[in-house]
Amino acid sequence: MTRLVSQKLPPTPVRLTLGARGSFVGAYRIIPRLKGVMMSYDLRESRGESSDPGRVNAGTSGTVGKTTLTDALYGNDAQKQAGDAAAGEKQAAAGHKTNGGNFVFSKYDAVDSDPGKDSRKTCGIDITILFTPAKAVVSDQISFVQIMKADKGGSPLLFPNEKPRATEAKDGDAGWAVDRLAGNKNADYQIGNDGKEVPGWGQIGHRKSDADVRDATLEDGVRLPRDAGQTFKVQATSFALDKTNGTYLGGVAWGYDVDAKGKMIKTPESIQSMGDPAGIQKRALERWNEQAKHPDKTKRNHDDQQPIKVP
Amino acid sequence: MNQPELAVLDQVDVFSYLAADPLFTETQLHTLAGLADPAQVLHDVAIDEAAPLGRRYAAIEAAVQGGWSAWMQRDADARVVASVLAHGLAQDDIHNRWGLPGQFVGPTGHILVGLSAGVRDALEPLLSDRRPLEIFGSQAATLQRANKYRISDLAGYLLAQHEHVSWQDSADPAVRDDSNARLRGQREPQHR
Repeated sequence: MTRLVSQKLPPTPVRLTLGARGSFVGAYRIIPRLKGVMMSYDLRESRGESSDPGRVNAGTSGTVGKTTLTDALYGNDAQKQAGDAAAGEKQAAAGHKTNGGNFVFSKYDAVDSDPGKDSRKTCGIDITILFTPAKAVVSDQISFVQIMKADKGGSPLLFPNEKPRATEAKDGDAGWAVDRLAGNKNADYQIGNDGKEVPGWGQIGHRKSDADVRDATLEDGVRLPRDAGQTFKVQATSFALDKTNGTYLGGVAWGYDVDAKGKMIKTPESIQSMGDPAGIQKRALERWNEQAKHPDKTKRNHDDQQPIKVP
Repeated sequence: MNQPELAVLDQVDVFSYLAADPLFTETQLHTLAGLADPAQVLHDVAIDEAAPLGRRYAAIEAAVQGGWSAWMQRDADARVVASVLAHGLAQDDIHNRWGLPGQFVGPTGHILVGLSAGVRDALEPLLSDRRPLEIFGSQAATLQRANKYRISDLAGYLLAQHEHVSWQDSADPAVRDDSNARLRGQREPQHR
């Protein structure tokens, strides 16, 4: 049963019960706004870290049988609930449908440590993206691959482990790199060196049958320093990858801009690709694979860095 | 500090260094290269107990970046460098250069971990420093906020790397504290 709440409720966490099994995927915070309903998704419950002590470990797998997050969101009741929402918000809430599934930005919040001020400060984004595979997809493992570019005052900002794999000017646009923390061997965003999902980075999805579907999720909390008088731009593209079949299922774009006066603007969420990564994103995947074969292992992301599928 | 070239050591913002680019620009390194004996001069600054910590810290980074660091292989000098670096770690505003516990060792972390002597003595006092790390980036910053790593965790992780022993990473700080407690207990008898 899906239980929905009125948008007149105060901004306190409420829960959606998903699926006949009664397991929880997460808790929603529904906040009344002038137009529409802003929803943010709290994955703590899906990790068994509920803010409600009585519900610790209520849901640990995120697998809810036939029902997925987007099923719950866009069922009949949800459609009624969103009936008066502005078109843009409806589009965001409905997600971004690609050839391989549907992406929903369940959290997409700008972070500015000194809002609107031209100062040395920290800016970033808190984001959670959920991907529900389409019915045509049959896969044991669906990951995210994120490709990002940070531009500080007009020059790419790259950490030491990213420099050997970043695209260069001769590639068409310098500074794009697979977003992967140093010391990790896989390009898949939420998969650790042991092949398991890493709490805090998201969950691995699958669609084994109509009755066994699990959303893939990506959680990111970008934080980067911005100096006074400096422009700053982050462009991110997040692709869903069916690892079983080696197929990209589409991708979405997001990011933020800070102008020279310190004003931060969140980039509107959008579809980046209906299927495969192309252009500079594809080149960034190739660059990851080149890094994986670097004869100097200290230049790799990990000694045993694994190649990623390039379409 | 009577050589004008050394002024570049005070020009860098050594405690707010993101490690995305080298600490010293090519121009600054070129200036230091103009010293009669860069390795000896930077050594003298690094071991000068009367000099400000930031300058000593910068001298070590400059020595490594410029390839003038062979003197750090001497145990007596390694002990001093370890002490300066550990004090620098404790005062840093940004910790990416050191690494992220359980994940990777950063460029400055590698300098410290690779020293031949003094690393345990330098890091042990930090094993009880519970102040949070300041980590920037994408996945690194996300993991930092999820796990709330502290200076004690970073010190323990680096010490374990130096001594080639295991260190238990965990989202639970109590588990990491246990790891650090075990590290303290692994101090070699002759060092007690």
